[in-house]
Amino acid sequence: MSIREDTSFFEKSVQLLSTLFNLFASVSLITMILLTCLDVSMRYFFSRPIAGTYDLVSLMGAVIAAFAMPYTMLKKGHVAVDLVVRKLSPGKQLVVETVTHVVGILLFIVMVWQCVILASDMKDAGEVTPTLLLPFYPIVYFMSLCFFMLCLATLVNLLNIWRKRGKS
Amino acid sequence: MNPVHVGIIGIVFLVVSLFSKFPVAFCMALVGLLGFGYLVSPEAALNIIAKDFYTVFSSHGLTVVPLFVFMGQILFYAGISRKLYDAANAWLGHYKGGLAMATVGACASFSAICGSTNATAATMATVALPEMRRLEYRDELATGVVAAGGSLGILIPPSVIFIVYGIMTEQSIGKLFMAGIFPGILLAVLFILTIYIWVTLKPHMAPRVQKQSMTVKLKSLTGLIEVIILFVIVMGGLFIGVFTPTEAGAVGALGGVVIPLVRRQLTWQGFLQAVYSSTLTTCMIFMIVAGATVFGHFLAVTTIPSVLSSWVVSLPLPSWAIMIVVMFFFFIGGCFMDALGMILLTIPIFFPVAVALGYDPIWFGVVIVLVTELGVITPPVGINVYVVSGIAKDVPLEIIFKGAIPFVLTLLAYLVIMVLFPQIALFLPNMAAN
Repeated sequence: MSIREDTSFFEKSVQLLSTLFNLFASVSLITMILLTCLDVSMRYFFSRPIAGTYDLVSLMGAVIAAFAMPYTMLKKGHVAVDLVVRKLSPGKQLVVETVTHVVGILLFIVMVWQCVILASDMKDAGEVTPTLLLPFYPIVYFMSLCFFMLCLATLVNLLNIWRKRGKS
Repeated sequence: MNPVHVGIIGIVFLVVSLFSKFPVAFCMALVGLLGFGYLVSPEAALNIIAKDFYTVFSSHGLTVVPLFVFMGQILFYAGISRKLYDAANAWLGHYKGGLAMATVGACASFSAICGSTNATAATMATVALPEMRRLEYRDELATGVVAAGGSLGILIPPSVIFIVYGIMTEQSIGKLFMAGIFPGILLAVLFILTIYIWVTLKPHMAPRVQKQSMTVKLKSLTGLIEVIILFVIVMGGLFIGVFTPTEAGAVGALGGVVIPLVRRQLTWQGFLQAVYSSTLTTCMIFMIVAGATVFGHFLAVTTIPSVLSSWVVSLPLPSWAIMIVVMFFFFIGGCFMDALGMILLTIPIFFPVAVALGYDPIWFGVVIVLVTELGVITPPVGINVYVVSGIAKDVPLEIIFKGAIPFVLTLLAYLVIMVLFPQIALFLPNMAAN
């Protein structure tokens, strides 16, 4: 990810952290491929599947999606309909974009908060994965952390929009 | 206010918010959260939103998505699209309009490793457009065929749309993949036929042809054998039940790395780019599914899906007429929205209708994929047309849309055939079931 000269320390940190988070998601993806292939070959060639592959693969799926969130936001990887906004005047565009980004940040704060509650509920209830009996709750705490990073990434995007507007 | 009214307000609010450039996934989650909170209770709504995101993120079914996405990405960065095109070109290039036909062939085969329409269109636009221009094909034909051919990406397996549809409606992903194969090949053939008729009627569209010797033809195949074998192993293994969908995806992903590695076609940079774009796409898809799940919970408490489906069934209309109305909805929606968002949004509403009318859920999946294919190449928001125009910057949008018209007509005719003869989609999965 290219980090421009005029960006603040805050923006640089968010970009760096988002990239690191995404790196973790990437490692998770590669591990998922290798583990599943290993499980398949152990099952067919040695009739010895790897116990808990199902659990681990599901958890890795969650890691990929959650840890890629801030990076995807910074890279504007989400599907959005810009058909109408594109046609507005620059001033109106700025208003709409500011409102949507702020609403987004509020929504993600709700997610941070609710994931913490969900995680502690799950911890109390002692929910575990079906075969390996791993506890579920740590991944939900991680999701909460990722949503927090998503808030920051959304803020960085908004700052960028403002900066571009300031220049033009 | 009764729940149905709240639901209608919610849907209107959603449609308006979608046009604000706010990501589709978050629009659905937000409207779902607010609506559910209003109808049930704010506490319940807050509860359900975190739970829905968590359930979707940790869903075992969805792990198929990153695996198949990665398989397509890695083979793309290894340069497979170029080879597919060269091979199709070697075999079809000497016919009149042959380069355009080769584009359809290459799109169809690229679809067999890639599950999205815009990725297929983007890939083929970069590879095929320069060739067609070199032989003085008219922009209309050249860009139209890339946009339309790209739409095959979601019909021929692996297809992201089928995976997500299967999870949302609890249908077998293997069956859906199987149901997409024959209709996909048939559609590719119909597209080729469309090109044939077009260039016969207007020969100036494709003025020149090029001859290929038999050695070039045979040589073009050598680079593809491994990929064909990989497809057969992955899909074959899935269809005969050797692999689960996730396992098939993992084997395909590993094969996708190993083949180009052995042939020394994969750089470290290419590998990294493939991984990064896969995590990004995965995140995007999981988010849309999660958002749609929240919105679906809201819709369920509005009772709209059940009210609508029982009302529709009681209408004094033949079921095919209702189906045409449903398709019309999908078509209009598909004109404005990305295929995945559109399908996820409408499944909770129209899937019960289709089932209540007695239609096969697998067949319905194929049909809505076809309708969305139509959506991605029609104005105003045919996403594939925008993708192609992003690559062919000097061609005006109208020209590309105009070039897509013959294919739109073909697709419309094909939809009618599909409604009249559901067996086109169903004979393969049914055969496998026996």
